[in-house]
Amino acid sequence: MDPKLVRAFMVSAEDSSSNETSSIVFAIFQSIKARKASFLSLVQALGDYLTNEDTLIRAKGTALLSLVLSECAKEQMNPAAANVNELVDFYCDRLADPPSVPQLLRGLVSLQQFQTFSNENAIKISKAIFESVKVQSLQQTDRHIIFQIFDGLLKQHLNALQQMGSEFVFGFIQVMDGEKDPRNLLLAFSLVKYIIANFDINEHVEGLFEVTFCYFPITFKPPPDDVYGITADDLKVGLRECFSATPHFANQAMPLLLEKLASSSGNAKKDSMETLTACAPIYGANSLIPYLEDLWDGLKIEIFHSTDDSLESYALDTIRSIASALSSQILVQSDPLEQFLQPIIKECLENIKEPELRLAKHSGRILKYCATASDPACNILVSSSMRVLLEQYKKSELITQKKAILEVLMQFLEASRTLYGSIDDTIIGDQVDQDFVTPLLTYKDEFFEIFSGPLVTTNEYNELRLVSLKGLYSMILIRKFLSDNEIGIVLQHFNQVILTEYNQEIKSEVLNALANVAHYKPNVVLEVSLPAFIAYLPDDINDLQKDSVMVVPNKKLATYNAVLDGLTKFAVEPSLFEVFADAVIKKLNNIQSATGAVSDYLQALLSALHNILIKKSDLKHSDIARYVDLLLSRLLAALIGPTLKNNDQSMDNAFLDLKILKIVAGIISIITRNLDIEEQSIFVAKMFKLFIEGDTSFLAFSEEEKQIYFDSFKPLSAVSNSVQQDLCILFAAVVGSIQQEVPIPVENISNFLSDIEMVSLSTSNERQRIALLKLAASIVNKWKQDDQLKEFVHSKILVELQNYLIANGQVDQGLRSVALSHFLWFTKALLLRAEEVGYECTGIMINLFNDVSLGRQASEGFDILVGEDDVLNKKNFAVIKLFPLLIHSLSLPEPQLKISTIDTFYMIAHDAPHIISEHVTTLVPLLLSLSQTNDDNTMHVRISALRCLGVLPDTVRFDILYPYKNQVVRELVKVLDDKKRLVRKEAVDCRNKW
Amino acid sequence: MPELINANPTIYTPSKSSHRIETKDEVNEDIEDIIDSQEVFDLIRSISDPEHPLTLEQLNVTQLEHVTVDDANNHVFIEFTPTIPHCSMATLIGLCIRVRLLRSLPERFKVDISVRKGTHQSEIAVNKQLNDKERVAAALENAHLLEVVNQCLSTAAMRGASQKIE
Repeated sequence: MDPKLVRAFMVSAEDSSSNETSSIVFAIFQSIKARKASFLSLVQALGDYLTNEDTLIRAKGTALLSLVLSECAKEQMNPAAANVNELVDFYCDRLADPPSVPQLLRGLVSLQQFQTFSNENAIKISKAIFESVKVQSLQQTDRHIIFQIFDGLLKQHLNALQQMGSEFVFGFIQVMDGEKDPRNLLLAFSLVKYIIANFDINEHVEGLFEVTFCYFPITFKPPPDDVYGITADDLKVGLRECFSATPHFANQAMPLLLEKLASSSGNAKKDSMETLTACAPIYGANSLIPYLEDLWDGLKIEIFHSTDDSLESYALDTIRSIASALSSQILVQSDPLEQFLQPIIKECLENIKEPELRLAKHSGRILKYCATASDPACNILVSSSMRVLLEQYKKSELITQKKAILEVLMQFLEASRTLYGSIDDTIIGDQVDQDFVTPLLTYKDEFFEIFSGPLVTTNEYNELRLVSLKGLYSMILIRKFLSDNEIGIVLQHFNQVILTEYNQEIKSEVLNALANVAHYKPNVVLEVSLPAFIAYLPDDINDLQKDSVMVVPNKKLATYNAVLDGLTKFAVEPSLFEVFADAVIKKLNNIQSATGAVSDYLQALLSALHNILIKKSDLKHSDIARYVDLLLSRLLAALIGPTLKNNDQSMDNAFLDLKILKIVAGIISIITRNLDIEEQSIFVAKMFKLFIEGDTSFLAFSEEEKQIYFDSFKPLSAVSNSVQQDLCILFAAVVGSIQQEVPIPVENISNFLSDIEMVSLSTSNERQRIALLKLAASIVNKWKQDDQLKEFVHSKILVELQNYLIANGQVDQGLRSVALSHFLWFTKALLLRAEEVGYECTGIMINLFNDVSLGRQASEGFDILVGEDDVLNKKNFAVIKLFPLLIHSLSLPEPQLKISTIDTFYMIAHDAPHIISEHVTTLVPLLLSLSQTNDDNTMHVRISALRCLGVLPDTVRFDILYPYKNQVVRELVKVLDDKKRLVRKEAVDCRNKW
Repeated sequence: MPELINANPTIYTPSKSSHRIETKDEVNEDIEDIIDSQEVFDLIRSISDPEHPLTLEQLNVTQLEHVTVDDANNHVFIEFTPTIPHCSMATLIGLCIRVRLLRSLPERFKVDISVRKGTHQSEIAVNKQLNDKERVAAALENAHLLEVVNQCLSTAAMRGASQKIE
């Protein structure tokens, strides 16, 4: 060991974290690691310093040794066991020297981390600390190290410390005694819990109780500049876990907890109740029995007279916890559970006699919480109160009273559901004992009667009907309560309400209940509700005309729209949807030849199918794929068939309405998306055959239909029948919904795209054109062969298509505009693929902003680039790179361009605020300058800018915007005096938001 | 639950005509719209009452007729009517109006706010407080008070659009 190093350390500056000292420590560590020096030689070199009369020198010498040890521990270098023994001995001996203790503790913390640190060492250190260290005289950080040492020792050398037994527990109590620092306490509490769990504490119950309960209740408030992040709740939980760690504390703890419960501080009450809730099951029935009356008296005040709702819920939890603890132990002589519950039941029933008053509600809740405590508790409650409540209901004449009693009964149903299981439980496991059934079963018939009554009485008070609905619904949900037959009866009531009543509020509540029941009991709904609803849908045009006329009041009130709304809600489960889809197809068959008036009905039917499919898709139902055969071939036949009739009538066919086409396109795309790759490939192949070759063979027309459908199908032609052309939207929907892996069944994709482009440039049918643009774009978007794509982009998009865009007076403006649309959609497709060239294309578009005839279309095209589309869409689309381009376009003078760009930002702020967050530095000042009056900023530019600026506080995180707050608020002062009122209005709203 | 000062106030339905109908002039770039009493009334009508989930307009605390604006001379004068003569919320309501206008009107305006004559038992004291800059500033230093004011102002942007407040 080089004595120079040691000397250099001893004369170094005080601060042990300085560079100088740490480099010395590191040098010594390196030489020990390289076995050039040993710990012994270091101790020897330190020699005199360690025994020097000057306390500071002794401490500093110790510090060097401890720092080197800490370096070893950090680098996980384990000194030999013999060395560790020597060092432990040395350190323990030195603990008797108070000025060196802080440095020694730091060394001990490192020592006990070594793998070579033995059980004996652990005992030695513990004893030495207990004997020599006056913990209370040390600073907080040093005390913290002591707790860290014990934490390490307990976790690593529990066996050894357990041998110390009582001595260790006693020692630790002494160490902890008088501790005040929250950081240390948090650690100490966790150690107490650990000690209680692992040591025999019989002799030290009192000692442990005293060093922990003295902190109760915790009143700690972290200082405003607190950097440690310790909250009062952390401490409360830590302490509570000590209290609930052993039943031995019960005798002393119970009176204390009751005393604090009666205190005037809300904090103390709350802490007492939470602690009681946690401790009741641990302390057990015997410890609780002497206090049952006091507990109820104390807790009921918090429920009946509390000013703070949260206290009520704590009190209810506590009551339940006590009742539950009492249930686990049935004593022979007097049952403590009865003893606890009877006074509660008596008092609550008394309150419920006047059910419209405030206390009745609280009492209902108390009964509910007691009833959820355990099976015996529930039995006691039901047997002592149910008769009374039911009698009261029957005697009661006031509606408010009836309602209040039903609400109490509801609480019992809810309690049963919690305790005995619900049909919507995903796992019926340990919590619910299969053998127990709710004691309410005895009263099932009566419940059924009194809950059904109000619901089916149409002129009954609304509130009462709603409670009765909830009751019936709860009864369905309780496991093994109602049989399927009985559920069927309830559903008949539901049908009656939904289908024949005026009352919207009740109807929508019943419908929600029905939708949930359909999820759990599809078989009953299938049998009872579905046929009833479908029967209300008009079958044909004659029926439809009747539908709009209400012949008899209170009968057949539900319009097909209402019925379909209902079906949309509940016909979602596979078995239900199958029947519904089948019914819709039948209705379609009946009305397909009709015209005009049925369009709305047709739309409603198809929308319902579409909406249910969306729900099913969200729920990831696997049966959707089946409908490619069951539904799509039928729908396509219905749409395509009429276009093959070679006469003018086909134009009027209800199916060819654009709205209907769009809905069907939606249905097609959602079903396609739910197919696997193989199924998609098959379907796409069929569709290409159909749309390109006009092969209608898979459409399964009837013989009769074949007679009239003889025209050829050429939807992709620029000169064919326009109703056929419109159907391209369906083709685009299919291609837009397939996965990239699905092959496009054409020989040469480039040629196919060129063909499509030619059609769209020459067609006069705008609908067909838009569909083709999207079709082409989605093929580009999904193109698998990168080299082919590149070739296409460079030869077709960037050269041929762009040639149309160049303003040289030779190209017809109409053609240029179509070409730009194509260009725009291709750009979107490329951007969605995150192709670099997409940004190049965006640049070309921005250059067109100044073009006299295309400028506006180009600038508005940004909405298409950034916005969502039904064919080309993808979450998390990378708009980030577009940002600089967009920001650039704001510096151009054209007002319309500015407005559409700002509106794009507005849209991004809504859909992808994180992107805005990254650009606030640029965006906020820019928007501020756009909100000021000058020649370039028209009033509409100013309004857009203010609206966009005003949406930021709603969508972007406050801490990101905060730095700009003052600037925005200040600069907007000028805008408050804008000469236009509409601008001022936006400015006021924007400024007030900031 | 602390006692409400006025537990059961009367609710008024505002007349339909009190809304501005957008004119051609307003969308004409070249015409200057002066700030008028309707515009200022719109700013304050939907402030919430501190006690009830109702707006000042619904409680008849503020009325269009009691807002006077002189754009040329940069002056705004607002009178408001507490729901009951001993309403201790009067100062707070006035403060809300004051803060709303501080945030929403150009700085050139001098704003006077007062309780309508004869509608409050300590109207002089209330008026004095509301028009004393120092005292208003001091009140807004109080974080709790500011929170209450912001709460009341959170509905102000509705400008009487819908009478229902969540």
